[in-house]
Amino acid sequence: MNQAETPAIRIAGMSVRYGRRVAVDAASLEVPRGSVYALLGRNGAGKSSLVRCALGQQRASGGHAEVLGEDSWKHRTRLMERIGVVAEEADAPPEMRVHQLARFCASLYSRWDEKTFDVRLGRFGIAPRARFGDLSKGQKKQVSLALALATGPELIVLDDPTLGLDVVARKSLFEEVIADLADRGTTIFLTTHDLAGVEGIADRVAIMSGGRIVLDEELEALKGRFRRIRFAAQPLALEAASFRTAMVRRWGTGTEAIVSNYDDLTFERLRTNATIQSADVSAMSLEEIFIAVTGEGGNS
Amino acid sequence: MFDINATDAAPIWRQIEEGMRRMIALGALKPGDSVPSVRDLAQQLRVNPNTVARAYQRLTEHGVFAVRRGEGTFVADEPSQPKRSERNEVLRDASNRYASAAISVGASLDDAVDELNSSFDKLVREHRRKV
Amino acid sequence: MTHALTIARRDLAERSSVFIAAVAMAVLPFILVLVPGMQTFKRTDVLTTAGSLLSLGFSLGLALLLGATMIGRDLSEKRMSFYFSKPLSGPAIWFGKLIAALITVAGCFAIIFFPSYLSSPVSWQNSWNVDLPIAFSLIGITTLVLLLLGHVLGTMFRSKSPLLALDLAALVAAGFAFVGIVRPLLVGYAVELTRNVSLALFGATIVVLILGGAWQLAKGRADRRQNHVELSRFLWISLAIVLAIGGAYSAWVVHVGPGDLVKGDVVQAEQGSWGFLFGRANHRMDYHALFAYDLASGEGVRVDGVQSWFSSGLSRDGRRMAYLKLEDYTAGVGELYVMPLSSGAKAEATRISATRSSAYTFSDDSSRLAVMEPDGIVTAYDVASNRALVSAKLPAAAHNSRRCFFATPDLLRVYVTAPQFGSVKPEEHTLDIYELDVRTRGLQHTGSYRSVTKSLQMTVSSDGNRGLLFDGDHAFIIDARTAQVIAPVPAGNLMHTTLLADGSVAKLAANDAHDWTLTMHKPDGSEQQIAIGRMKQLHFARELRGGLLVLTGADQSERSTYVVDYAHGSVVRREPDLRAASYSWMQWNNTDPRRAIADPQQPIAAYDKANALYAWQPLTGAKKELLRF
Repeated sequence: MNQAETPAIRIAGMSVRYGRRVAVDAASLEVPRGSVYALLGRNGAGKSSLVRCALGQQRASGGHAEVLGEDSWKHRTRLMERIGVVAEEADAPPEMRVHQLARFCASLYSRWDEKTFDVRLGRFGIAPRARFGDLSKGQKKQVSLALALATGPELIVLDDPTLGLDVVARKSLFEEVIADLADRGTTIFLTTHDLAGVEGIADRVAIMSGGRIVLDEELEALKGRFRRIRFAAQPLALEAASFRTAMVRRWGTGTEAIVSNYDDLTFERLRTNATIQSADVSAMSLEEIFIAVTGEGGNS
Repeated sequence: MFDINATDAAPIWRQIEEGMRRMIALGALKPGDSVPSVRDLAQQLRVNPNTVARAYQRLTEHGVFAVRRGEGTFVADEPSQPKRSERNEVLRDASNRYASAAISVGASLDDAVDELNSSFDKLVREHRRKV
Repeated sequence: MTHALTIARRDLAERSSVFIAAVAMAVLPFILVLVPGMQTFKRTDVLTTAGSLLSLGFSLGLALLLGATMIGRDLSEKRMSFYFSKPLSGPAIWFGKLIAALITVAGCFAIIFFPSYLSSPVSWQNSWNVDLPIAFSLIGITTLVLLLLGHVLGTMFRSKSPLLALDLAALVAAGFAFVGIVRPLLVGYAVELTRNVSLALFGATIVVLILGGAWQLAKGRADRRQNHVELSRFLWISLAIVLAIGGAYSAWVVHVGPGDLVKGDVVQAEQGSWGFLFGRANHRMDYHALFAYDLASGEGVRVDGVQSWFSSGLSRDGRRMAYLKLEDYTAGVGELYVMPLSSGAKAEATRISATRSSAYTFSDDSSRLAVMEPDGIVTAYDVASNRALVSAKLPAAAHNSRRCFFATPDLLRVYVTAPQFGSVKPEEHTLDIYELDVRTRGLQHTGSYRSVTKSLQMTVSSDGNRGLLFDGDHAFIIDARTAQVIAPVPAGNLMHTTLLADGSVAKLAANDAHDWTLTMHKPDGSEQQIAIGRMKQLHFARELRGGLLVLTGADQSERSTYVVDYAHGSVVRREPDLRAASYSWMQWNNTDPRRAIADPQQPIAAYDKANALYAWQPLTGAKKELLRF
């Protein structure tokens, strides 16, 4: 496997336990190079623990993680040279000024693009002399992202990047990421529970629930196979037609069913055979699919 | 330029492809016009550049777009139309959905056709205004 | 390690407020001198004292604080991921922050210290009386220790982990291990060695703490709990290794045989061939070892204890010995052990508590043991059962010279000489004689002698009936029970005048040419003189049964030992090159004041010019080399 083929991240059977509480339960996933991979899950699903272990910041209780082809626990120090991390909680020292942060990072990495960092900072409207602790939450994330991108990483890891950001800040953050992706083909790995935001840009999504990976699929395929079907009266015997229903419930005077292995042809045949007049088939947003898969209430 | 509906049944690249074709059909994009770079369109729409790249590739393969080396991507001088079979497929798909929605609210065929007419007009008019 | 310096630089950049505070402190002494109340003191004294105290206090407090926060605060505020998401190794982070902390403390110390010091270096030197480099070294090490300690405590407490209980237990265990290493060395009087071992262990601990921080961050990374786990793991395992090495070294030091002694002294029992061998061990600095040693066979039995300062501990019949096993070193308190003097013997605890300044002695049949304490309490014990039979407090207590012997197993006679130093009038020097009776449980004052001078020396005849008393320039034969003067004798001292078994008083004297003569003043009043020989020095070694006397003398150039048959008035043997271990010094040191009469068949400990130890037979002159020191 040459460099372009090794996955950017490969997690194999990773478990993380805190005392008796199991935060991550034998999770496995692969992030292909150059893709945008979104790990979805509610708060407490185990995403942050998984990310910390994948980045070699914490020792997993079981399994292991390889990043850019190397064991992330053993080789963390040299791997971080090639990885940019935007943490969920801004962890830069609050007393440090932005330009001092930049200088600090510049001296640690072999690649440092001073110019684009300054340009980005200008675009965000952040003064270099500003103290990190005085910045708003969104601005802190913007600075962290700018620092991460300036080192020219092969992989960017963002742990809940939109948490606490307003709509404008959220959009601008994704714009920066997309631009970098377009320019350099960086691999993006992000965790989030802001499903609407990633819907447009993710190549592949995984859903984490109760510490387990319950779904790991290309987004297009996922959206292709989920449909919401609304019937005026009683539903068809969908199961009989080998449809897998994830949820069936009353909707107004009729019924609503969520099908997870939909295809047009099979459904057409079913409909003509069963002579039902009205069945409204609609595609589902990522958030709606998430709720159906995890059975958990949505959030944002 | 146009909006992407993430909840739509059609994948994003298809929506981009359709959107581009629609704009060319409506005259909003004329032959020889430059189209936004993959990077710019991706940022505008806030979608994965790979997705845009895929749409562009299909459009280029189907002769709708032309790439001029060193200059960028442009609408082809003679943008080809979709094949009859493709067009029929798209129409069938969409009409099925429309017919099903109409029947479910108890509309007659005439009512449905009337609505279809007005929608068509509106779209053409709107896009003409934008140009 | 350039990354470590980057981190150090970054840390230092944030400490500006600390340095400013230091500058404020530096100014304080100069303001202090202006305060009205301070005018009474010399300006330079106030400056140097205030400056030194402030710099010390500030630095040490800062060290502790920085130690607890330099890693600890980032760890608990979950900001360590800032470092670990960068290409920084755990050790780089640790050493960078440690260096920054050290520089901060050193810098603040210098800022506060030097202005006031430089105002008058002479005055500082006079007040503190210590060399500046030494003072700085001490402060530097203390600073480092406080930094590391602060870090360890910070890590362990901030993690809020129950592991803390294990740490505490490990600390206690380490403490015990340290004591276990050092204690045996102290038993062997190895103060310097103990100090060196302690310093080595201390230094090793500092190294362990320094490396521990690097390990902690390398393995614990951004996880607060894991940091604690890794620190504890490294700390206690490394310390265990260090202490194990220390323990092995200590065990090696302690494992000494008679042949390992570099300088040995033998105190021989009156009878038999056994005695104490005490000396400094080779290659072990100032570690000393005590053995029960058999001059006949050369066998040594290690004694895990010390002798009293006042007693040989050897029973008169040479069959038993008593020694002190210390429990509390600073107080010098321990338990008495009794050991039979024979091959393969084992010591037995008596449960009798005693101190270094206790005096103890056996009865002639080894069935009783008397112990006299500095506070004046004297107790007689039964050796077999370790039971106290009778106890009493002597009227004149402290600072007395006290000696005793069992006139019979049931009767203990005690000699107490009143204070012999300090500004006490001569009339207040007395020798008091008491008898402690096991049967009546009573203490009886049987006699008293008032001195005319301040120097009283005394010895008792072998049968315990008469005493030889030296009172300055006077000397008398006295009754050993009532202290009544029986007859005057020529003046002298215990080294050169003694009581013989037949009742004579023997005196050694030399003329200007160092020709020694032994003069015997017989009980019938007659006098006999025996010419001995020419020696720079000569004194009594021991008396042998059958009218024999061993004399010995030694200096740098010559040594000789003589055997004199005083009954027949002749020198029967002259042994050049050997100095007999003399029993004489025990006459005024030993608890039992009686003269010894030894078995002529038993060997005598003797030393040659090279200080080798021999078992020398006085009758045949045969000598067996036992040990080379």
